[in-house]
Amino acid sequence: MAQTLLRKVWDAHTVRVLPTGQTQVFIGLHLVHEVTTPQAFDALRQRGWPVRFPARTFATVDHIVPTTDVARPFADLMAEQMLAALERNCRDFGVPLYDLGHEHQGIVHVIGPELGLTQPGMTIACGDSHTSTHGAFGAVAFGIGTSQVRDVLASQCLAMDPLKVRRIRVEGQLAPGVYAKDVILAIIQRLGVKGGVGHAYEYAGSTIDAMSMDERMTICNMSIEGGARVGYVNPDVTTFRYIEGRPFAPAGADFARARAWWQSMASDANAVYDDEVVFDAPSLEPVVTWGLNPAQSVFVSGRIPTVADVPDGERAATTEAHEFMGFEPGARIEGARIDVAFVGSCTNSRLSDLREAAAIVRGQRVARHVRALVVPGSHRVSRAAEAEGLDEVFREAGFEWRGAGCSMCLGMNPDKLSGREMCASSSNRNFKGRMGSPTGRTLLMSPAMVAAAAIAGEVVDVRKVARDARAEVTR
Amino acid sequence: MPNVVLTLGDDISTDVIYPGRFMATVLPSETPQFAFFDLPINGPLKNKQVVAGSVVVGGSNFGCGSSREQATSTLVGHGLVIVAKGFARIFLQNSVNLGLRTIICPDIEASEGDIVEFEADAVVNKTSGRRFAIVPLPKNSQAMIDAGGLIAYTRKRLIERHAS
Repeated sequence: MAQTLLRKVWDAHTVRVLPTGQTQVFIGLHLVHEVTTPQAFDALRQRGWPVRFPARTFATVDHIVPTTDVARPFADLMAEQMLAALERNCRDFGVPLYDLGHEHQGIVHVIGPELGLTQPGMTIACGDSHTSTHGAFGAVAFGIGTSQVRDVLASQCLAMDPLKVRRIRVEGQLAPGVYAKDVILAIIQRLGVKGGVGHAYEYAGSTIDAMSMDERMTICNMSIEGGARVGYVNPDVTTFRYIEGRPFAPAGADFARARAWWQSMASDANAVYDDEVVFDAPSLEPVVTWGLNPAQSVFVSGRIPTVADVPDGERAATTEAHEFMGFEPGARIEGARIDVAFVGSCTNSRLSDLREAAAIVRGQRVARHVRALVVPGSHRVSRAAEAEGLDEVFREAGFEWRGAGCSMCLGMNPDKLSGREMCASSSNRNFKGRMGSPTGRTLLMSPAMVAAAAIAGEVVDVRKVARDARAEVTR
Repeated sequence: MPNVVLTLGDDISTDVIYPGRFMATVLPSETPQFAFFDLPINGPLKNKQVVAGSVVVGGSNFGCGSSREQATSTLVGHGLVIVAKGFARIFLQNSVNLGLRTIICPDIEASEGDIVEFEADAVVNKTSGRRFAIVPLPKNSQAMIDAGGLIAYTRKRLIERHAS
């Protein structure tokens, strides 16, 4: 019978069906970082248990690390203690750790793919909700809480409820200046922040097929923002080309064998889905969030909705967002003044993201009132960008060029907003307090849009800026 | 009888329940002081003016966003009961594992200060006199919450099996 990738991967990893009706699922790859794991390791230590499959477990540091001064001990003693705990845990339990200064260090969802650890057909778990990123490779990847991290460390298994599969087809060519980030923000806007609860999202269609792995990762990354715990793209030639030759990828005859198996895990052409939605890519514009969740967004040419524009159930949340953000209902989002511009996070900190942002800022200057920073997703991204001279492009324009980490996205390290600062951000969440200030404000958008906002000092349509830049070159 | 100490809207994220800037705590016992830190309720919680068993009423998608289990342990630390129109998936899983009392009640209406009562299949708002149906959790998940979490539940089952 024709099956979806989700079903095939699920069946291949089923240990048994539990008396509760849940499935005991084997986890192929467990990624570990400093914030969600200290109590999990302690639980094993108290019981004298080992990590069941240390060879399937990899650790790095990203959430709490400073992106400027990484000298130890950190100025923040709590962060120092947390990192020291991870270092001790990895040593005691035999888990490889890509620590600060290691060439493999970086945001956990950036390094898994770039090291070739993330592969099609796998089950991947990590104590981080953005684990859905790895679904870009045709893996079933999901975030878990600390007590489940403990369970995976101890048993390499999880008890899981079945998921429905919604196919999201995106068809056609994106206009210049419209990126993967705009696609996923548009999907979340239409389906809502809880539209995906109980579902895996399968992203398909000609737009997705034409995307690079970096772009597919941006799409899958924000599946959780739409309420789906899992989001994936079927593996294809783009996927295989990306993986081949990476440090942990199979090589030689093993690669050929793996590739055939990976291919076989893709959804069958006539697989049946629980439902399907279709998006028309050419009609999309750059998207900017104006509110307090990732579904509260508009096209850059649009206006902030009034209470009358939204369904009854969303009116209170809309009013709350107007007040918190300080936006006039019905006003244009274009022209909203910003204080900070942030290019980074597991959503948009890969080399292609930095290239897109650099293309906008080349030869320009960051507006005087704006603090702008670029935080590469990993050490490897950082070195590759430096080899192309992107760091110089950003520095000359007045951006700060930082070390790898989660940085401003989550307010758990020294990079934070202060007071009511407004931040144009390539990250994934605009929740109250997310960027470290209880009153700080976040506008989510693509890296190119962040770059354009940094230069203008306010939200602008990157398509106009790019057009001006092109015109200048012709002259 | 339990008292509603806080009512919230839809899509309350774990960033609101437990702000990221307090994530560098290593012990679950340290988390309760940071519960709803940026909301006025944090004061009464920290000053122990909220008795265990008090109720927080939320909208749909409660606990969305980050998987941080601190958002669950901080609420367990105060013995709060969360009645919401719906819960985000990771948060609900964390709640079952840590034994946070979570009740799915799609039509719940309550104001701060209301007195509520829990029946097997409903939440009764004694103040308004209205009754709201509960969507039960899977039996197994409910048993884990009742036992105080996954570890306590498993321990209890092993002891029972051993005794019989």
